[in-house]
Amino acid sequence: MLDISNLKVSVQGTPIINELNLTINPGETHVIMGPNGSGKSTLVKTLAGHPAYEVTDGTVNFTVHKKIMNLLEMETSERSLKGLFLSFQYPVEIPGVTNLNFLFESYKYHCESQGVTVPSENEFIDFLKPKCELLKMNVDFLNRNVNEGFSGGEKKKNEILQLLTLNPKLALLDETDSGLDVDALKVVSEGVNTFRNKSNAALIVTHYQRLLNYIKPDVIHLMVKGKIIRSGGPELALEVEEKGYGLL
Amino acid sequence: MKNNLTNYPIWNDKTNRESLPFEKNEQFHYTPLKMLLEKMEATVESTDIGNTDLANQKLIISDEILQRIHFFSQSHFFDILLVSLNGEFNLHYSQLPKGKIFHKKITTEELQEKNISFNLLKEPLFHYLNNKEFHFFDFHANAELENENLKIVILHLDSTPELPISALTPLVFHLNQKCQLNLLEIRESLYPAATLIQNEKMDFTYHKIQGSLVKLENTLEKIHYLELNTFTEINELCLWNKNQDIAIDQITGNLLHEKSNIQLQVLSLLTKLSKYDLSIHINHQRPETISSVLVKSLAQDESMGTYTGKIFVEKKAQKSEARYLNKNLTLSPRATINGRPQLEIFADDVKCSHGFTCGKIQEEELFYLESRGLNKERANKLLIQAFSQELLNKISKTHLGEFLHGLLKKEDFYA
Repeated sequence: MLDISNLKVSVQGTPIINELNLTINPGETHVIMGPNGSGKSTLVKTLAGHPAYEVTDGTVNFTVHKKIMNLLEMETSERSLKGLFLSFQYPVEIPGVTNLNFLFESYKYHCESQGVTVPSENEFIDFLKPKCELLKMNVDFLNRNVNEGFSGGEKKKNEILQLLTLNPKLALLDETDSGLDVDALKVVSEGVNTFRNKSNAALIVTHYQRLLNYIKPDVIHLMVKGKIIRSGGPELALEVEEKGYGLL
Repeated sequence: MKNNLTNYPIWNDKTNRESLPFEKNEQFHYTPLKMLLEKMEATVESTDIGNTDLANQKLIISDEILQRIHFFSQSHFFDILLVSLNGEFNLHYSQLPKGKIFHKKITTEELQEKNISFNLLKEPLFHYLNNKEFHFFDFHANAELENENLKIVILHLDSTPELPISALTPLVFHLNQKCQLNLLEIRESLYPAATLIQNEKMDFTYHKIQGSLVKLENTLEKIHYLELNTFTEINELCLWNKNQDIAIDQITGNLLHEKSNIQLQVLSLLTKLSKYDLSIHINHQRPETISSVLVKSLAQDESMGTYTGKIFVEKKAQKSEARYLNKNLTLSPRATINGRPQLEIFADDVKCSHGFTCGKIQEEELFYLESRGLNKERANKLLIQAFSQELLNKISKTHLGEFLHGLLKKEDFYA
């Protein structure tokens, strides 16, 4: 589904990611762990098309329905419409736009892109209700402005609500567990698990092993100085928890 | 009928004191107010105001203008339609339901006889424009209007021939009833105009759209002078979107009675080479008076907006509250916003605040929307809409909401 080869990324001339290789297949959940400043967030933001990150070398192929696309040549919005989703570490507040309007607008673009009939607003609200329930979000949240005045936990839940609504092929979750209390962590994890199936995939960036108590990953990668230095099974996360990055 | 700026030292003084930069080294690209007036003076001088050849020609109303008048005369939004052509109130095209509103053209002396103490008459600009007459609209006499909701639209349109800019005849509204007034003013004229409202008892809401929906390619002067005794809410929307538009807007509110309250909201949308100069003065003259001013501005292309907001609290206006906030969004690197929020407080027991912000659309906000599938253009428009929504929400709650929304869509500020 995602094939990153020899990727090099710079920010304002400073290299952040250096010769990174990563392959994610459908049905897999990958986790990237690493010390602060190792380039984890840079990687996922680059994949989503953030304009501040400059790809200096390498290729990224994104395969959906057996069609291989060069991700780096696509606009940010096009990447989303083709099935890529980034859950933000710091979701942006947009005063003046209600959550419902924003979600509906986004959903309409996805429907149109896939040639699917756009539902009415009422049908869309009915479609959202069970997702809100799953995430223990009051439906009133839909009428509030996007992320404005939301607590840290509410913002992260809102990201997962968007994930479940847009149902992408590949979900990039950037520190979705940070700032969450134990209960919220469970709820958010349940949301992510609901999303997972055999035909989609997830790439999760996290600092903590505790998230992996709820979301079972297939592969763990350790990223240091812009490179994946080690990959392994879930036991690698426990090793990191025990020894820290320093000893690895 | 020649006017000379230098004959009006008060005006010059006022311009220098309140409009232009205080410091010599201040980098302040201010709309040159004085220069505009001088330009106007030149226009006035070059044509003989008394020449009746042009004035006597029959006004030719284009189909487009007729359609516009027809639209409003048929609209269920409004009860009273006032049409002004070439800067002059036109009774023929207006609709004044009998028993609701009384209209008469009166002189300054007659106005004073009516015991209406508009301080506006002392405004130097009005002397400059040499007004001796007023269109007087009185709601006072009719007791049946008690608690009624009056919906008025004023259209400022131009017809041919284009007459020289001359003395303007202000529209004066005298209100003395506890009824609601919803006033929408639409300017599509290059002539100066003034609307004066004296509000003795009633609450009233004021809406204005001013801007170049048809044409507006010359100097404009517009003054609002409000004498406020009770609660007043004003929502103003300005659209400036033609090249070389230069507009000056002054809103003055005097809080003359204890517990008077003014809520003023202005949204201005500037595009192309338009220049807009808004000056707001709120004078707290009595105790426990309240004012709240919010000015929001969007500047595209090479437009320039200049916003002066002055809150003046007199010594006897103890326990008053005043808020002034000016938020701006520049949508292109060549758009300019100048701001001067000012407070002058002589009372010692008051709550006052003022603020000014100016910025561009944040890259992170755009990226967030784009990462959800919205293309760049749509994401931009949504963020612009979000910025203006706060003020539009206030207007949308009224019967004008639908009308204004359609207008903004038409102007393509957002889809």
